[in-house]
Amino acid sequence: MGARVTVDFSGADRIITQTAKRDQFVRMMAQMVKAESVLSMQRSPATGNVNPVTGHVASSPGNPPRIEHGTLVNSIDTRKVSDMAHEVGTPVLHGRKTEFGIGILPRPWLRPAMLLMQSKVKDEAQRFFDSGIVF
Amino acid sequence: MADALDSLYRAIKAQLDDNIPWGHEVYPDAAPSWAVRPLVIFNRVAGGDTNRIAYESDRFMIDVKCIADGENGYINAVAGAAMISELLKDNGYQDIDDDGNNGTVAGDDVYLIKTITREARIHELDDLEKVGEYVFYSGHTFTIEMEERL
Repeated sequence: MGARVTVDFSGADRIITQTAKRDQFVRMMAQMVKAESVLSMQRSPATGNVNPVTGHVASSPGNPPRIEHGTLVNSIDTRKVSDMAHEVGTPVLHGRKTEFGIGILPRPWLRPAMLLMQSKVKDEAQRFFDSGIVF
Repeated sequence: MADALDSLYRAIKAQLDDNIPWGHEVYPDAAPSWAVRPLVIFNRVAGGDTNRIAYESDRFMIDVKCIADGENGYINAVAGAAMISELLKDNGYQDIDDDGNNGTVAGDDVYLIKTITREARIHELDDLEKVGEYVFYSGHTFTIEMEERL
């Protein structure tokens, strides 16, 4: 059991009638969440514990997990769940544990990316559709 | 001068303190080793201007979890989650109840807590000691809109 969020634009189909472009936009937003999640792990500060054997520096609590073997970062996927919704997440268990702080101090990586996407979605939609949609 | 996150943490601590089943065991970010379960831990997930993904707005996503173990671990964790929800959900200053009253989690002199919205449920269990004695984590994610007072 991993961690997943849903990028859901249900209801937007009433104002955006260009079906093909709409699908493309929802998919693009899901990809943005995925890309931001990956980027956040790649750029997470090396401020945690040091593995004495490998020398790997872990993330500190509150920051996204730092990449060691790449299991989590390479497992992040997107999948279509309906015409207006795509899921982003991972089936990897420690993805869930780091996101919610189960058994360790939390190192959220997925929901911060989702929140960042939410803050950008209006600008992205206006740029993408370029059709005078007023939100 | 307090920042938004500091104001928010103080407000949540004050609102949750001294309630059943956790009593005074309410901790921001992490609990000390002497803390006794059931306890509540709340932490920033996203928002504000700290860490790599930062926002200019004073909008925060916070996880609030009741953590319990032992014979009544599940019951305490689930009851704690319900109590957390009761105390925080739609209880910001601009949240209005059915009788027209404002919410009671209003922030401090510097920052106003405008709205508190309950998001996804968190319910997990973990075998910390790997001996089949589970620790239950139950609570919610909340999105909180704040504003600096003029």
